[in-house]
Amino acid sequence: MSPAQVKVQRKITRKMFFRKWHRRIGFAASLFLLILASTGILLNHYESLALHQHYIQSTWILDWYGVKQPQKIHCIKSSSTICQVGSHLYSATQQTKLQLLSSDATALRMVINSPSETYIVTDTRVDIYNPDFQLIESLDRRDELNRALINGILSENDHSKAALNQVVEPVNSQLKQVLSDQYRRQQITYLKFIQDLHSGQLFNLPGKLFTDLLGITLLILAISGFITWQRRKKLSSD
Amino acid sequence: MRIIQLIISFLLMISIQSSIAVETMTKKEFLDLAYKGQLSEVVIKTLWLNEKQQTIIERILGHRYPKLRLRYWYHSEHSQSVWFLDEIGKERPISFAVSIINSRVDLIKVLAFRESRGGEIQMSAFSEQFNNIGIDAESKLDQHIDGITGATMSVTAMKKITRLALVLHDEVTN
Repeated sequence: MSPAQVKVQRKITRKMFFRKWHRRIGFAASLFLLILASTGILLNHYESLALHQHYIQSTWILDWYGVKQPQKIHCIKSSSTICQVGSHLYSATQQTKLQLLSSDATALRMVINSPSETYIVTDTRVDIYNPDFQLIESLDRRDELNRALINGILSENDHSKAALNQVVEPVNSQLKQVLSDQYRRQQITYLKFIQDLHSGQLFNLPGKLFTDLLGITLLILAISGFITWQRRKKLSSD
Repeated sequence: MRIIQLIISFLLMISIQSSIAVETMTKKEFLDLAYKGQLSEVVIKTLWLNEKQQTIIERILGHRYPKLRLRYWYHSEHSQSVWFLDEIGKERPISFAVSIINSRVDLIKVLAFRESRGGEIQMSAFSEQFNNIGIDAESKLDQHIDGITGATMSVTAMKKITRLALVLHDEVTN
């Protein structure tokens, strides 16, 4: 073969090499690109889809995230049963029917029932509910404007500040299990799950590195695709 | 000249950054500011939100107000009401205080900002845009508010709360 022929042969080999690997890498990356694109679109519209307001229910995903059963469950039983699991407060009727009242509560201290209202007292708030447990008003105990009102509520119902520690253990194990499951199922939002899937964080460091690798792959594909296109354009103009 | 412009921009940036770090105020401090020391003449009232009012609120906020009753501070002589209202910015609630006189905003402040971004709405330069603002027949603000890049959702929350406070003021005074 003459040197010119060798040069042409090398050129052809190089071109085929580019195209072959561009196809192979593209094919391999396409599945993960589908996931990246889908999760990206979902994240762009998370508000209208309310992804931040709905929670993952799947037990195996919760297990993967390491969401454990809560350590402590406190309940106060008066005419209604109010239970606290972590920062979540629930009203429990008929032993297992739960209604989430609050998801940012501090330590539960007392429940006061009056004929028309229920007062749930925590370290930082007094939440006032109607008989259907609809929130009427929430008074910040740290706010000096509410002091007189809160003292009035406590004194009217024969409760002093010193008595603010009325907590008993859950009434039965069935309620405890229901509370536990309910609490677990309100820990991971769909938004967090999709964000973690999008970034690779779902699989910790290997996942993140893989996503970085996918990003680099896209760069390589874009560059190799551009080079291939340029060469074809040059050939057709020649 | 270009160097002077750059220096001025840099200084403005620093001043804006330090404005973002301004402490929030308490409700009592806001009331003192709004009523200019005449708190003794102010009456605390409650407004039970009926279905019609919740429908209006839903149109403004995009959701019903999560409480059945609102507390407000009212000075009948000045036709002035003060409202303390919360609204979610992106993910966390922002606490606002709004003073309304004769159906126009007299003063609005952010009392507590809990988001990681968008805190620029606490700057006086931004909140002063709301001074003397009112609402039209469709309960929309009757003046344009310039937004802040990177704080769209906080700005939206502040605009919604302003509309809500104006509507509530009209509800209790009419």
